[in-house]
Amino acid sequence: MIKRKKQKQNNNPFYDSTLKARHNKASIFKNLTLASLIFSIVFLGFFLFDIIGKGIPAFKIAYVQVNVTIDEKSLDDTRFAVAKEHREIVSRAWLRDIPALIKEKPELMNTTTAMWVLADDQVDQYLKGNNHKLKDKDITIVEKFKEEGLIKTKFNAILFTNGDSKTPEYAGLYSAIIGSILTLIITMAVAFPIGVMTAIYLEEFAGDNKFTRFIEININNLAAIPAILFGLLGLAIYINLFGLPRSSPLVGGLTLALMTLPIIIVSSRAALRAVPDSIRQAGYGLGLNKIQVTRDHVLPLAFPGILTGSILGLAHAMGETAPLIIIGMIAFIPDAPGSITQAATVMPAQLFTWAGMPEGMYIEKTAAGIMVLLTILISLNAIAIYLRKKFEVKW
Amino acid sequence: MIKNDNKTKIEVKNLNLFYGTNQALFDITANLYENKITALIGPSGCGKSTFLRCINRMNDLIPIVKIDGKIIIDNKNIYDKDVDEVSVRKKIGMVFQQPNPFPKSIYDNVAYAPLKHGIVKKGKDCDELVELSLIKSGLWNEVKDKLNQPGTSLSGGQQQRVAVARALANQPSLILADEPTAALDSHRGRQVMELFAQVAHESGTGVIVVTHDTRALEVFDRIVEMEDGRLRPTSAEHLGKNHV
Repeated sequence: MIKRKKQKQNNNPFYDSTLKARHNKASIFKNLTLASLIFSIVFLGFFLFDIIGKGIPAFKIAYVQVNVTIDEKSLDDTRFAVAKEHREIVSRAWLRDIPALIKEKPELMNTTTAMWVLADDQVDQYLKGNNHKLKDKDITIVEKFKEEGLIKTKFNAILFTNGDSKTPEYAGLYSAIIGSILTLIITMAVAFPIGVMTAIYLEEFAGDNKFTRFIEININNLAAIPAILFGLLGLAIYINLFGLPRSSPLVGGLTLALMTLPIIIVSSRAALRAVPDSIRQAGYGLGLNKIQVTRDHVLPLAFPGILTGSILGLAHAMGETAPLIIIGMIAFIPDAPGSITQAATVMPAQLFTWAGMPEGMYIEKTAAGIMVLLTILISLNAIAIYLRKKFEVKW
Repeated sequence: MIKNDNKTKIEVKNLNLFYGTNQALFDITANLYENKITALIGPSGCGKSTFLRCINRMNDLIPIVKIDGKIIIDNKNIYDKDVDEVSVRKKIGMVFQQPNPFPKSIYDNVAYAPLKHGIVKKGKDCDELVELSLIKSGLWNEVKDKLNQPGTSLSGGQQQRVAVARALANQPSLILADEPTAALDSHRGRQVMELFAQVAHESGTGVIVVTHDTRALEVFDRIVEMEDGRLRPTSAEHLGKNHV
């Protein structure tokens, strides 16, 4: 029986006894690679699902309608602006802003008006069905308000218009966003020109000798150094040596510039190297000098690549936290910085601070902040891809 | 049919070239003439491109190259210390193997170098120079309506003509061409070769062409053959043309 089967297979001129095992190995290998892909997709999906699930509710926040009495007494201690039984369900931080409200609308002085007041974070968490610390009597009041339609959830504009706060419902990303923008402006203003110029020198002017090769190796190494070391460098140089103000976007930007430089240099060199040498030859053949060839003919072709690399470097810098912690940009900073020398924090550092808070609302806001940060990063990457496609020259 | 109107344009005397320790050109001595189109032929790697690039000092771009000997143009050795290679290349145009238009419009491709060298000023003069150069390179009628389109939008043959126009616009006294037809089919290649012959005969600009393309050899006034970094003295007779 066995013999016959073998006989039959041997009649096939394409029969190869090792083939089946080889095909099996190939299919195992293929399945392994596929499994790795699925593994990453599942994790990414889980991450997104978790973040979005936690973050979406933070874009809505509860308001309650209560009578607000504004007089000398309540201006002195704003807690007295609302009736005693309502004090636990409204936001104290919101009430603290009543003097500012009076400056804007003086006609409200010595009146009692029904106002939509920001609810306390515990009320918001209760309404969203999360863990809360509301007392039973407050729950009764909230339920009563709910029946009478005196509680509603609105779009959480506070998340974008307020700075950080120790009161969870009053905390927002505004100062961190401004801090991030100022920091990144400094980063790009320093790293882009220096990076591109360095790349031009190394690629167009420097000869191929031991010294330039040594520099090249070190630039590549710099791109792989743990970011926190750049923070220590920034602390040592900018703050201790130059005496620049701690926690400021100036120092943060300069520190991130150190970190972004190697990325910009490496990507700009790659872009310059991709410009066909025949363009340079054509330029030199016409008696143009190095600057005319480089500036007018090589750079325009390399520019999309340089821009793409720089935007990716910018995105990288934007998500960086570790070096900024070292130079003090992690401090509690409720106000947006007015200039690059004032204390500021940045978005990832703000998220880091919130993530360490016990209140449920901070956890929500962390997730919402991650969504905002991810949106900005994905937009930056999309811009990079768009620019590359738009200015790409085919050869 | 040997004419005796050969005016010496370039005198090459005992030219030796080394890539590091490798000698690539051996003791080349030759005269190259005005109003003539000269072909430089020979097997791959015989040094003909290297020799061509000596004439406008393009080899200076390669750090390991060492050159001794003289190339005398207009009674001046271009390898003298007081000669800047940039000005040599301005006077001696070059057309390359690959069509390599600048990433600019057709107009700017032609106008860029003359503007930088101050041959013309922006405006009417420049427009005229561009037109004249494109007429000389036989491209004017094809591109006069689309001068603002990028040079890369043209076909390979047209791009090569833009390169010729670009070189002509610089008003060179000599044009070097390094296998200018290698990337073109034989018909277009022949058109480009004929264009070079026309340029040489009509405007007095000498043309030296390195070529592999033996199908178009009859357009040349002279043929110089190289082998292993040396000139082959018998080559010209063999092809029935004027002697080196």
